[in-house]
Amino acid sequence: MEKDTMIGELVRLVGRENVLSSDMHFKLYEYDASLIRSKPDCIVLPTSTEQVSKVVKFAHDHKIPVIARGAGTNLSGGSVTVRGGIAIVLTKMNRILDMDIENLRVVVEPGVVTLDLKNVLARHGYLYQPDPASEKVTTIGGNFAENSGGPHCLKYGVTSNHVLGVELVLYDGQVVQVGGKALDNPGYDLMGVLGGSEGTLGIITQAVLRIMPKAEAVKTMLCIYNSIEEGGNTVTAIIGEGIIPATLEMMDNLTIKAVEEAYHVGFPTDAAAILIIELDGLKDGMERLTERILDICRQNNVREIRVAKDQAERDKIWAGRKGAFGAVGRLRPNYLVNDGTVPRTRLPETLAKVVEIGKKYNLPIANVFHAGDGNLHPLILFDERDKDELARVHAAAMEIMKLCVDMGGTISGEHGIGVEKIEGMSLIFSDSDIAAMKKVKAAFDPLNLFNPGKVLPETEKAA
Amino acid sequence: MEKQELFGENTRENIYHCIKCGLCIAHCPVYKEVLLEEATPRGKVQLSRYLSEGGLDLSEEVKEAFFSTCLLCGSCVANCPSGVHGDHLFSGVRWRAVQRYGIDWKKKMMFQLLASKWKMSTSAWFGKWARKMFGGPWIESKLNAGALNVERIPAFNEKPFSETVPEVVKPEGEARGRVLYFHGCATNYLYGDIGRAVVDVLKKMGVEVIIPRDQSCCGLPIFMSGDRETSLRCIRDTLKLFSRPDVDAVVVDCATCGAALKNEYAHLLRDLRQLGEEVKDEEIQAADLLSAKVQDVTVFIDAHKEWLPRLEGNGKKVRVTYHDPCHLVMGQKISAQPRNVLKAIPGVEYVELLGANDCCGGGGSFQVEHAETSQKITKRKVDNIRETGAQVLTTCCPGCNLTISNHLDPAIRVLHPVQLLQEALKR
Ligand SMILES: Cc1cc2nc3c(=O)[nH]c(=O)nc-3n(C[C@H](O)[C@H](O)[C@H](O)COP(=O)(O)OP(=O)(O)OC[C@H]3O[C@@H](n4cnc5c(N)ncnc54)[C@H](O)[C@@H]3O)c2cc1C
Ligand code: SF4
Ligand code: SF4
Repeated sequence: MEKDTMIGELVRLVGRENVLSSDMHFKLYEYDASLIRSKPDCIVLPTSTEQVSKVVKFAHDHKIPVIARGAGTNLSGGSVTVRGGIAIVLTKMNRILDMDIENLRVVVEPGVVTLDLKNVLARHGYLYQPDPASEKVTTIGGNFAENSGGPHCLKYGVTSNHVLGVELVLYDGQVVQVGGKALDNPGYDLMGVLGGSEGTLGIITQAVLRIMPKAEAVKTMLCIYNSIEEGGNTVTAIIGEGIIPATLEMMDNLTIKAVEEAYHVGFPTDAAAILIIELDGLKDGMERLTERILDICRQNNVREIRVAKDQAERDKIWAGRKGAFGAVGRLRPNYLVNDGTVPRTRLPETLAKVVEIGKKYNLPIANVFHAGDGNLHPLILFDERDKDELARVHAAAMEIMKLCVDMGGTISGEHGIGVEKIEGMSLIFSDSDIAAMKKVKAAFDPLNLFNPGKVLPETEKAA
Repeated sequence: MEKQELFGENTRENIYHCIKCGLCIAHCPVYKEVLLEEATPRGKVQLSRYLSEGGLDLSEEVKEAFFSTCLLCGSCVANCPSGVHGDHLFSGVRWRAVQRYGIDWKKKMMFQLLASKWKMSTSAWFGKWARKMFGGPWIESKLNAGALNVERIPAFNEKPFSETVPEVVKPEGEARGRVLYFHGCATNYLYGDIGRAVVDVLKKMGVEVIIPRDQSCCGLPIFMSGDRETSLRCIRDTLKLFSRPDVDAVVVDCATCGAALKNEYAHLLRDLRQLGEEVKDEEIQAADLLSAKVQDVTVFIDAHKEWLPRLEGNGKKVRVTYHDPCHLVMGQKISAQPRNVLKAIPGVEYVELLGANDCCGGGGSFQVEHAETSQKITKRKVDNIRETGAQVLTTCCPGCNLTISNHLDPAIRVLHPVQLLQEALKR
């Protein structure tokens, strides 16, 4: 179809003010937070489910790819239009539709910003748990489509554990309900298929979320170590004792330095590692639990422990943690982050090998990770203008993925596959595993128009 | 046409340090209303990159993105973990846009100075000044002030503030210090009362106040509108008068002027030099010296509070809140001192404002040209102020004062913290 005709049709469907099609706009919607860039053919910003449905149907009738986009902060190329097509940007669909506080449910449109929702809930004393470090900008739709995690997911689980139902636009424009307000719904558990599907199966236009009352008490501790090993051992020991804190986050020296420069939160720049441990729950017993944890830290040679005295001090520590990715941008212009996961007990060993890989390819690597989940985030630092360096970065990234798999883990804990990690899929799945997933894809999207080129690699058998 | 470098080297490096994380988006007041990528700081940094590398033409549309979806409030800079100076990039693009499209900043200044015909005609000096400044038939037939209600714009000073004070004001009592006072254009032409409060308070603290008669605009509004050549003239004039080692501080009563003098001069001179402008080493040194001396007047007062005469209450309580101007809280990282000054005044019942450091939506000429967006941002601010139940809103920037007072219930007074202090000292 001619591009001009397409744009004309889209304008008719959603209104002039909701269609963007200039050279400038193509450039503005060709990226996300990864290194991948590719222009869409048109951008639409629908304001209702009905508009999304019309656009999807139109695209399907004319075999045009459609790619959902939230805030564009994913790290794997998920919202980049690698095969062109229509970018459906959901930021204007940002209403909270139903606050059913008594039943601990809220219903939102997909463009609601995660932290905005949390701020509204906080006024009522409630909380939506998932907390990706990027929550102040990300959308609920993007969180669900990437099945995002965050520090508190150690105790509370990832996004899909908190999204109980969605309204979904199918390839032909039909609008269906999946799941609902109940914790378990009869019939096939399609929610399980949709969570983390990266926009390849349909477009979410509403989500039913589970909320919780705010914890009565919170305690945040900053534990400072002279070696990464000792920090890692602390993590293993805490969980070995049967304690599941709300968070167990770790940062290495390079990251600490960058964060300190950016945020001045008082992290010690000479420490080899810091561990952020947060407890939440009832007031009763919190002191005792804190003591037990501090004991474990001391047994593992902690250098210093700082317990946040108030909310302001807590906020400072978390501002440092949440800004960690951005802060490393001060060290080198670009970073590539792997988010492979390994069994927690093998964390120290894996880290040592990551350091070796960095040396081998002559690349600085900063580490910050959800230690409790064994979820790594080695940030490989480089300058994309240096082509030789860029090639080494991709080789090192591949090697880190392999390493995680060799350690008995997997290639992505939360950031999704997108395009950036698509090659890694064959490290963990056989051709027939992938072929099985392709059957699900074909059932939802027979013409392969929803976010094509993502998640599932081309395999011979699957073809 | 020969390809022009868009940015100096140091400025250019910013575009490569943007990792597109998007964290700045949460802090952009314009994005919250517009919800489009061009309104995001990230988007404008990326556009800057394309412009700089030659992959994008500086079209009218691109120009508009840089003017109409940015207040140059600096929020994104203060909140960028990667340390990207978006403001330097954006004003650089504006400059080139002005070179190409010839935006008439003089007209903008006119709008900005909020020409309401009848109010101006009551101030004869202003007419003369404006004619000299803007030349030609400067009163357009249909001036309107965008988001601002013309009726509620304060009247111009009877006389420019600088003509109502001596050039050197001697301290009362024991002489303890000596400062230069940079009063911005707003104090000079609109808010003479703020200027008199500053002089009065400092004088009573035992400080000698020097107010150079020929001081000009700090240059920032002009610079923000893209006219670097004119702003360079302002910078050079200011450096000549204010870069002096023999004073304790250069105090300012305007957040924007303060940010300009403190942060922008040295940067801009270096940038222009890299782009081929003739800038002498001495000028850069002078800018560095000035930067080290510049202090918001509340910072100076707070640092020397023991110099204040004893403050008396008058038995009355007054509920006061404070709005953080972007150019003070983001641009200069100052938030505690103005509050300290307020809390030290007997009778002041200080209440914190929700979203105190959110932008007021003014942004100089932004509110005039992009009224709708601006009004939405201001509305949030005004609602939050009402919520506090305060009788007085204070802020350290005449620009914010103008914007907020224009939309706020007339019963709530809008003052500079120093004005409240002056009232207490009179008792
Ligand atoms: C600094 C930084 C820190 C981060 N920290 C974390 C972290 O701690 N944990 C974590 O898990 N991730 C993290 N991320 C990654 C990213 O923020 C998350 O993946 C986030 O959930 C993406 O949300 P978004 O709104 O930006 O979606 P986008 O990036 O726009 O889209 C992501 C994917 O979702 C799809 N999608 C979006 N909306 C819909 C919809 N309505 N229906 C169907 N599909 C849709 C898109 O097609 C795309 O495939 C971080 C990123 C950055 C830059
Ligand atoms: S400007 Fe800074 S905060 Fe914004 S996207 Fe770029 S790196 Fe991130
Ligand atoms: S300067 Fe202010 S208005 Fe402009 S992009 Fe940055 S945050 Fe937004």
